[in-house]
Parts: sequence; structure tokens; C-alpha cells
Amino acid sequence: MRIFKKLLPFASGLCFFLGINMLLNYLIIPYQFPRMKIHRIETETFQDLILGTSHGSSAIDPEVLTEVTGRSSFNTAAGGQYPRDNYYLLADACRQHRPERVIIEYDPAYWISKDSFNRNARYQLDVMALSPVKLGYFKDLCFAGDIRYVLMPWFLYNDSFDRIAKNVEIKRSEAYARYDVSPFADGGQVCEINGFTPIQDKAEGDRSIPDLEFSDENERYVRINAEYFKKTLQLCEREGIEAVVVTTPVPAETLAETEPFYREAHQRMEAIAAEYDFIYLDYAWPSLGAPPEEEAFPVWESQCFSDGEGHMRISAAQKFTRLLAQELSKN
Amino acid sequence: MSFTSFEFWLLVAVCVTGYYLFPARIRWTWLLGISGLYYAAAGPGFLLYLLFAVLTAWIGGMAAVSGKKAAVALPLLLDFGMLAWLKYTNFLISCLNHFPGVTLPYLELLLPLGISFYTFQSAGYLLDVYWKRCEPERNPAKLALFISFFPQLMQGPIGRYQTLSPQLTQGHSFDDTLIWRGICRITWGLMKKIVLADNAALYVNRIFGAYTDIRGLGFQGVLMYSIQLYADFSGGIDIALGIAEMMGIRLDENFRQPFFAKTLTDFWHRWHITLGTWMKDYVFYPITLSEWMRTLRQRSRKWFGREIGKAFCIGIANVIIFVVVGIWHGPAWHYIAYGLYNGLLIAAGGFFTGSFRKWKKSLGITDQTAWFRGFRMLRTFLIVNISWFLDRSVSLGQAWQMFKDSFGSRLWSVTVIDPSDPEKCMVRFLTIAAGCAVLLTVSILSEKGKDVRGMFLKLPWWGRILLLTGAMLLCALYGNMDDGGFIYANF
Repeated sequence: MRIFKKLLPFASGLCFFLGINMLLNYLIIPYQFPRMKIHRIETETFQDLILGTSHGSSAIDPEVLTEVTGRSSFNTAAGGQYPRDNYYLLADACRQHRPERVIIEYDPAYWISKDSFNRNARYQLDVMALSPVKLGYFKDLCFAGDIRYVLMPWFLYNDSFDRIAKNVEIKRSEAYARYDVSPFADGGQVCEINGFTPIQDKAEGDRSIPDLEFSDENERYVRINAEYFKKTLQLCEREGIEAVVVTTPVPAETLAETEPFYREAHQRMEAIAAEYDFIYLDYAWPSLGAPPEEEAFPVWESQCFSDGEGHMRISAAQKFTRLLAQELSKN
Repeated sequence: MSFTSFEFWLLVAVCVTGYYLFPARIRWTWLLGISGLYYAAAGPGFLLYLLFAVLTAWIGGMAAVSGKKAAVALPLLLDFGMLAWLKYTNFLISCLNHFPGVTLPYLELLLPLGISFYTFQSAGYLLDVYWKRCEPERNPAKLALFISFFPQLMQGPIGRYQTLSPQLTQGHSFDDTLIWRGICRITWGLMKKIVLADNAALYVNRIFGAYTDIRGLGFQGVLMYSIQLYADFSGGIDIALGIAEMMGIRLDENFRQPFFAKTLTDFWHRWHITLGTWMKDYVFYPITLSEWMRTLRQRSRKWFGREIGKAFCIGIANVIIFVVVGIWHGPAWHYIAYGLYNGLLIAAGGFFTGSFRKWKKSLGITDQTAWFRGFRMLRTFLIVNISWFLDRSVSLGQAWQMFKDSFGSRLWSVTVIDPSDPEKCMVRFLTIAAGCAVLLTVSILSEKGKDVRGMFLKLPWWGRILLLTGAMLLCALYGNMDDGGFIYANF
């Protein structure tokens, strides 16, 4: 009894600390795309599910894909979404609504970078329904991030306190309860109900060319990302899901500057494709891409993109999705 | 496993809980197991190095009781040989490659986590046994725990066998006051590290990293480095001490308000204290009491007179010590220069002690005069800050260039870390300023002999919880997001 009395303040302190954090999470973390996306993949079945990064979210339009292939499709790709996040997204979808095919967008730039302190992944975890998949995801994130990331995810938004009133208003609204996309327009973001995040043709971003290379320093990140990528492929095998891996186009200038990087990235993925037997379509590198038809794999000029990294503008994205859909229909 | 990672705190929680759940007599084995797990997480291969250090210390310690010099010299040679091989081989190769026609290939050597710290700790144990200051440890597992106790493994403090080992094996009973004191110290350490050090690091990395582009901000760079280095190192030590304290184990203090030091010697008595005392006991005294030094002392007294002659010999010993400290910091010329700078200034201080005393007397100044105390503190702070040019730069050329450029018209820039976002820079800067104000207040209270944590313990339990929660929220709110690595973990 005495020891219990001594421990009570510590237990109360822990509860208080967790309570304060829950409150701050509610107030500070805004409503974002992943909540809608997770809700849809947990409640609906799509024939084609697109996984990937911001390149995939802005370059692959499910509406065009469905129009050409005649199959239902949904885009779950998002900025800051690493192979680990894609693996758990697919695993979450497979619990009740397994897709027939996954189109995995492979952006090698992600593979060479560390993936902790990521708002998207942390939010995605929060909005997932409670399941063994969520617990596994939580465990993996715990060991990837620091203690603040795990216990106090609101700190990732510590520059947006001015949005507290707006966040509360949105979270109490009908649109939030319906998992609607309308509140997103308010924050300057646009995400369509099919998960596509178009970038308008006039949008202009940073045109500088990123510094990309495989090195000894980033090899450990490559190893971790490759490990989750392979886990995704193994999950596909187990569940009988067809996997297609796609690298979206990048500006010709970027490709010219970073040729060794994209060449090596291509070769690494080819090696994995040979091991796991999936189709790999590399639109970033026409000369190395699978079928060397010029029309199917054109060189993409810089006006197709909003920045030097290669985020596609909407017109180019729709053209690209059509080409991709035609390629997928052949197989 | 970083001090700011989730798995580290999970390990700490499991360790402390398990420690009090196990019977007292086997608690030390639990600590040994957790320490092994912690070290293996850094790389299972590194365990072999640790095991090697434990075995040499154990066998060496048993043999050292004989009093034969070789019995202690061989294990010391093996320990320091391993350290030197791993740490300095590539430096030696780079020096040799400067000779015409020499192109030796570099070796791929990985420095095991905390190797400097556990090598020093085991060497101290060996010498203590040899000098009959303690009995040799017959149980290799207990010795392994002394060398590998996980909170201090990464960056110290360097413990002494006589004081630490009995505490580790004793098995303390649960006391909630110890837990509160430990949590308080850990939170304080985390605040120093996350809020102060990691924010100051943004300025330091920018100013030192782009010194050819950003000219004239050298003094801002070293001032920020003072904040970063102190908050980072002492914060890490606070965390280590706090974790140990929760289990009733008192590790040695490593800092005592170093920036209140009035002389450079005083600074080194307050900064990285356990390294300083280690150097004093195991290097300085053996040098000053050696035969050749005795001869030199006699001769120098003849040449320079009694006072200068004595200062001359002590000066030589100090220069040797600080060159060793410089080399210990890393295999690079700028670290050696850093050691020489400190050693030579302390030696020079010794030479002029008599003259200073006369000047002070003639001017009617005493060491207790308030303005003179302030002046001495400021002077020491300046001397220490200049030494950071050598410590933080990556080469002697960079240190000199930055020092030279510091005397231009541009001395300060809040927005240097991100000129495109001045508002964010101002928040960072004010965070550092506010953190320094809190740190200064606590330091003044500690310097006056007040027990700051004692004040915390006087609060009701809910008051403590409010304060700790507030501190943790501040860490999250104003802390900088980085990998959570500690500077001294690299040494």
C-alpha cells in the first residue's frame, strides 16, 4: 500500500502528460488528406491502388486511369510517404478491401534520405483504424523517430498555432464527419476525392536541380527503404495482388544533371524486379526504360513540371497517366 | 541509440522498473544485461572491443597486484594501442601521404561507441590497482559492469572504480525522492540539449560550414558554439546522472558552472571535470613526480630561480597534458593546436603569477573586488571562446581565416541561418536567449551553493508534475528537430 501511494504521483503525472498531449494533438494537428484516403481504402475496394510519393500524387490521375483501363482506381500517394508508409497503407487496405493491382510509384530520391520526423506518416498512423497493422506501424515509427515524434506529434506543427480555431471549427464540421475534401481547399491545398493532387499549369516552384547521388552515407537509408519495398512486394505475393512499379518522368534538365543517380536507381530497381518478377516502367529514363518506343516514353521538357524535382503540372500529368494506362492495358 | 530516441527511453523505463523488481543481490546483473543490450544496439561487432577492454582490465588487474611494472604496462599498451589504432591510423596515413612519393591507402576503421571513455575508465582502474589504491576485482562480470554501465558509456562521466563499483553492485532500495531527483535532472538535461544546444547548432553549423561565404561572423559563431557545446555536453551528462540517480547510483559531476571561472586553470577545474582529474591523477602527477622531471626541476631552479624554475616544470607538464587532451579530442592538427593553446596559456599564467601579484598589490586590487572578479570572468570567457575557433573548425586554416575575418564591420546576424524567413530566425534566436537566461539563473543559484533540485522537491507532487510537463512541452515546442546526436559521443 505504501509503495502504491509513492507510485501514484508518477502514474498521475503520466496520465496528465498524455492527456495534455491528446488535447494539443486535437487542437494543433489539422485535418489533412490522409484521413480521407485511409477512410476510403478501409471502406471501399479499388481494383487499382496507387502508392507512392508526391511525384505519384501529382502525376497519376485515377480518373484518366479508370477511363482508359475501365478499372476502379484510387491514388494514395503523398508527399513524404516512404516505402514504410506505403507498406502499411497497403496492409491496412488488405485487411478488408484487397486491391487487384498496386501501382507503386518509385521515387529514388526518397530512397537516399532519412524518413523520420514526417508529418504525413505520423498523421496517417493516427487516423488508421485500430488493428494489428496500426500497432505494427506504431512500433516501427517508434523505432524510427525520436521521443517527441512518438509521444507529441503536435510538435511537428509547432509553426501553426494560429490555425487552432480553424482546426477546431473544421473538426466539428459536417464535412469532417463525412471525410469530405472541401476543407482542404481552405488551406490552399487541393486534393480530389480520388486522391489525385493536381498541380495547376501555372504553378511555379523551385527550379533548382536537387543534389542526388548514392553514397556510403545514405546507403543505410537505401537499405531500410529497400527492405520495406520488398516487404510490400512480399505482401502482394501473399495476397495475390499484381504489382507494377513506375518511376514518373523528371525534367530533361534534371536528368542531364543527375544522370549517374537515375541510371543507378534504374539498375537497382531492375535487379529487384528480376528477383520479384514485376513490371517496372521507368519514365524518368527513356533510354533505359523498358520498351524503347519514343512515343510511349517521350522526353519531358521542363514546362511539364512545376519545379526542378519533377512534380508534374496537371496537363502533363493527364497526358502521362494516359500513356501509363495504355501501357498497363497491354499487360 | 540516441538519448533522444524512443527506444532509449523505453530501455531506461524497463531498466529502472526491473532494477527495483529484482532482489537486491542480483540487481547488478540486470544492469549488466541492460548495458550489454544498449551497447549491442550500436552494433553487435562493437561488443567485441568492449569485451577486449574488460578482459585486459580484469587479467591486468589480477596481475597488477604483484607490483610488477610489466603487469600493468602490457594491458595499458593493449588498451591504448587499440584506441590509437582505431582513432589515429588514418590521421597518421594522411600525414605520411604528404611526403613525396608516398600514397598509402586509407583504412576503413569504425570507431566503437564510447571507446575513449571506457578505455580511460579501465586504464584508471588498472593504475589504481597497481598503485594499491584499490583491490583488484575478482569477478569479471562486476568489472564489466563498472566499465560498461550504460548511462555513462557514450560520453562519460569517467568514473573511478573505488567510488562507482560498490554503488553499482550494492542494490539500492526504492526511494521516490531519488526518482523525482532523477526525473528532474533528466528533464533539465533534455531541455539544455533540445532547446539550447540544438538551436544554437543551427547557427554554429551555418557559420562554420559556410565560413568562406559568410565572413565576419566568427565571434557570433564561437559564442553560439559555447552555448551549444556546454548545453550539449552538460545536458547529456545531466541525463546520464539522472538515469543513474533514479537507481540510487551517484555518478561524478562533470561540470561546475564553467563560465564563472576566473582563470583558464579554473575553467578546466569546472569543465569536463572527470577528464581533468583523470589527467591530473594518471598523467600530470606521474610526469611531475618522475625522475627526469625532478632533475629538470633542480636544473631549472638553478637557471631561472626558485619560482620561475618551479613554474617552468609545471608548465611543461601542463603543455604535455593539454596536447594529450587535444589529441584525445580527435586525430587532427587543429585539435592539437587547441591543446597547445590551452597548455601554453596556462603555463604562461604560471610564469607571470608573481608579477600579477605585484601589480595587483600596487594597484590596491584584491581577488574579492567585485569589478575585478567580473573582469577576470570576462577575460577567461574570451580566452575560452577564442580557443573554440581551433576546436570547432575543421582545419587550422579555417580557424585562422575565421578569426581574422571576425574583426570586420559585420559582427552579428540573427537571420544568417535562413535569410528567407526572418520571423522563424527571430523565434530561434529568442529561444536561445531565453534558454541562456534560465541557464544563467540556475547557474548563479548553484554557484551560490543553493540546491536547485532541492527547491523542486519542496513543491507539492502536483506542482512538480505541472513543472515537468511544462518543461517537456517547451522542449517539443521550441526544440530543434535533429538526429539528437551528442558532440562528445564522437570522441
